[in-house]
Amino acid sequence: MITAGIDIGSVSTEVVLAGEENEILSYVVLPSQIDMEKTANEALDAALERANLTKENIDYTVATGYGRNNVPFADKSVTEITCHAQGAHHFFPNTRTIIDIGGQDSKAIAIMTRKNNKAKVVDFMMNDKCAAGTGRFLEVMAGVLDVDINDMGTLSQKSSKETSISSMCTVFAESEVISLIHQKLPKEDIISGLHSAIARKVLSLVQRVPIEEEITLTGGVMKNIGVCEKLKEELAPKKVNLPDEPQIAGALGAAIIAKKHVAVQTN
Amino acid sequence: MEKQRGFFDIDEVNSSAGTDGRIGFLSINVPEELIIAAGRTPFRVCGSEKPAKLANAYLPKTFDPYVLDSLEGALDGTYSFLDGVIIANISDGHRRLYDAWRTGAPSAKVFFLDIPKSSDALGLKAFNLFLSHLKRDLEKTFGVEITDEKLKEAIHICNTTRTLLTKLSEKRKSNSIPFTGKEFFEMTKWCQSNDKQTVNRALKGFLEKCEKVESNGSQVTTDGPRIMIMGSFMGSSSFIGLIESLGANVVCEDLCLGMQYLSTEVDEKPDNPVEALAQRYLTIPTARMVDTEARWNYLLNMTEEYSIDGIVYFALKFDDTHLFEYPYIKNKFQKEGYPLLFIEAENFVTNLGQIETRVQAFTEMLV
Amino acid sequence: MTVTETKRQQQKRYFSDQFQNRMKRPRFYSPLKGSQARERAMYKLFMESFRDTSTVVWKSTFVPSEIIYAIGGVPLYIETFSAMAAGVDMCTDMLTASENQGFSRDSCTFLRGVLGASRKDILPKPDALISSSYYCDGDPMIFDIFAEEYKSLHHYLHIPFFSEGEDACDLVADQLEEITLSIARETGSEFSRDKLSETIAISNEACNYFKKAMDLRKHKPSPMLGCEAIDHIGSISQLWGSKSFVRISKLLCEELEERIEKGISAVEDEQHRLLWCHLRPYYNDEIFQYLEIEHNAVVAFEMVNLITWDEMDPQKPFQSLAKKLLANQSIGPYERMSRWISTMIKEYSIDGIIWMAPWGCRHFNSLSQMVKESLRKEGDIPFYILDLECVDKRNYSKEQVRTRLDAFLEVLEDK
Repeated sequence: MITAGIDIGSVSTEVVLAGEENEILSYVVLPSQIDMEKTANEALDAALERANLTKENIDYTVATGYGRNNVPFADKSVTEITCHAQGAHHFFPNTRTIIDIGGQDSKAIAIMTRKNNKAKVVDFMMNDKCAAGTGRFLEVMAGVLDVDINDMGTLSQKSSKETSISSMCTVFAESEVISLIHQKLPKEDIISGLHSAIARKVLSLVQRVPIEEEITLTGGVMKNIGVCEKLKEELAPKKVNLPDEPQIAGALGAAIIAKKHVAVQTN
Repeated sequence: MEKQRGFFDIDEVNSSAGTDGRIGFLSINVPEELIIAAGRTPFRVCGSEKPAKLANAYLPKTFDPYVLDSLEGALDGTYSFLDGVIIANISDGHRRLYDAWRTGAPSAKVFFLDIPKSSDALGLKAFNLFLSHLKRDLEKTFGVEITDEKLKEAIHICNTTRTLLTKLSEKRKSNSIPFTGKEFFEMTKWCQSNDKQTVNRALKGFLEKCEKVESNGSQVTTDGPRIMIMGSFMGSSSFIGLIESLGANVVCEDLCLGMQYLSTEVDEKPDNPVEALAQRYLTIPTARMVDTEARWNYLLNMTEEYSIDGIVYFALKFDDTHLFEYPYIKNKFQKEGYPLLFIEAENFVTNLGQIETRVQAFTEMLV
Repeated sequence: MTVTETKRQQQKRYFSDQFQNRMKRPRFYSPLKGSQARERAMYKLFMESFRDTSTVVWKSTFVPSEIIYAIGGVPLYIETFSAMAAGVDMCTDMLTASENQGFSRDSCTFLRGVLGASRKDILPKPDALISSSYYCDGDPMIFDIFAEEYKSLHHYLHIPFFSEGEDACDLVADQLEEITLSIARETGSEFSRDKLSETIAISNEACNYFKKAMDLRKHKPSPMLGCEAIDHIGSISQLWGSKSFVRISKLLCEELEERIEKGISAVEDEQHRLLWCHLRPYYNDEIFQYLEIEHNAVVAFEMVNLITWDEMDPQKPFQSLAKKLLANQSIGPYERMSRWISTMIKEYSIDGIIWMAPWGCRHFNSLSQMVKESLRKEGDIPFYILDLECVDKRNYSKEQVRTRLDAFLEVLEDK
């Protein structure tokens, strides 16, 4: 039995193909295009090619993410909250809290493990109208600092003295960063400060669901090692897990949920 | 030479005792006299000045930053030295702080003082009652009796503090001010957190020094525009410092760590001291009161007496009292011909860099 | 022939048109007669408030409308004006007008809507204003501004925090009496104790029916949509003390009884029963349609329809009104609110709570975390804090709200 999970986010699209034991047969990560259908098809084709499979081999497909209702070949759509919970739980079965930072939103999810070892969402919180705790925040700041967003993590590692960023609001923080640049402060120190700011903001969200060990970090922003480290610092001494591929947790979760539906269908 | 003249060089200021027997309070509507008469020292809670972290579990982040900061201090142990804390019903934020403080720090003794927004006869009657409830709660918790005698004595001590601070504040009416606005702010802040006898000795000492300089004729004329600052709670003097570093003088303020604290005195020969306290503490003309006319007259009078050139209105994000007052008061001041600068900040130790340009442009405009 | 309309006539005509449009709007459900009667009663109330001969009294939420009816006045819970305006797509303009005056976008949108409307001079003029310390700081502040603007007197009612405390009832009763007598004096209205007692008796009668109607909603499956019921806002209505509210509540009662008898349910195949806390978005019905019709999750009860007070004694009118007011779940420590919610969960067989959190609503948002946490300790009822605006549709994103509701429904289904 083979299932597919597809996570269409605002920034990137992920597809995971999973086998009988939820093992990952292949996965792809592609940047999202304006045409969501096209993105979905391309990502699926690429994943199938990698696994040497065809569409006919897939028993069930679940779509998630911002574009979940725009995937023509999906059998069902499930929100990214439930999917990230399943994905993170699969990576680290002792996970109780999940922190996901995506391009447009961030969320904190509390889960429990059922007797059948499946994860169940008990509570969740998502960011409000403010963009401060999302990938968008870093994107804006990368633009102001004139650095590639993908380099921010490694750049921050070179920082010797973090610059404190007091503003939480994206607009305020932007002008604060500009004035720091004018003060000729090293970019890496500013970036390090921005990572702390985003970690604090996300933490204010996490505090609203019961935080329990273990905590697993997911989402595209977790590819940034700087943000992960700040989150780990803030959450210490709690155990914090970082999957090798944090951004595919949603798609993997979708593929796992798809399996449950195959089971229902065939029964 | 300059240094020696400062308030914080006075011996008494540096000899202040430890933190034993303190009761915290968060609003100048809480009569310190009750704390003193209960045999304790009042301590003004000013917030931990650390970004709220633990507080997020109890209160939303779209909330009065002073309340969040204070709660953070309650939860991270900053205020564990206090024997108790009194929270007054001065706003939606503070009344919920009462809930959050006692829930988040269950071992703390948290007292609540209800307070109306109007000082008419029924308002006074209600506040009188609320004060007697607080008095009873303090007596019960600390096993003390707050007698009329003790209260009258405490009233006298606190009146002395207010008189001395008023005398010092009035020095700012002239154009040779012996201290900065930042220093006056620090001074009133210090007075709210230390033993009042020590406070009074220190104030007396400082006043004498200032008067000596005056009689020597060695005072320096202060130029630059004369600014009045008003608005939300401000726990640090950094913003006032910024304004003064740009060439302006903050000569008066409508702030609780400032002239609101010394606005009026308590009747010293009352039949009933609690009633006398109610009368004084309910008539402090702050923005939260509905007696807007009394407040406006108080503010206008201040601008005239202190020969103000311009006003800086400081509002903390999510502080509804001041966010709602600002547009109204702005119109009134503008009709009187006073320029006004509005600064909204996320917290009182906010990034001053971005505020600097606005303040500088404002002071340039006033010259 | 040219007839020049007075300003008031213009406003009245304008609102008459807007309200009638609103009542004719397309809906995803067919309203009960009781609901239609309520809309007409509100329409009539607003039209009366524009009449030159009316004595109009603006009031905060908790100020009892009975005292205003007793002196022959028209009570206006002025915040409803923003809600009405949002329903006919006028509120954005009002909000922008208030922002242009310098009012912060972070503050209460209901109040800012009214501030903007007053700037645009489209409000019925108050002859007197009564604000109170609950719900929030904003009310007394802006009523003061209005008092100056309209040259009317502002009365402030202090509601003690510890509403169950000694003397609380006397304090409120004394203030209510004082306020009623001064307003009667200032506006040249007649006040008599008998008239007030009569008004109290009318309020009691309406309350009996209303309570009964709300009790009928405990039936499974639910006989009434939350989308429809939430507009009745029983506990904060400005119709208490009016005869029309008796008729409305009686109608509601009869219709719900009939529905239950005939086995008519609000939604087909009821899957979940939700408790809705706070008000609702007034600019559209989408969310309710999505939850109740598309996902069979009926909003079985709303906090705003909770009746917490006992029958009043018409012979002790001010004392009784004070008791009624102080019984409200929103006053005092958060534990009180938690207790009431626990009761509602049990009585209405609730399996999920949606707690609406508008950005600028300090009073309600300050309760969210502590109430949620205390309910979590009691049992594992899903509780979702939904960030959503009531009257400002500028930040509304259908997709974002749906993602959140979908996730919440997944949590409910997974139970």
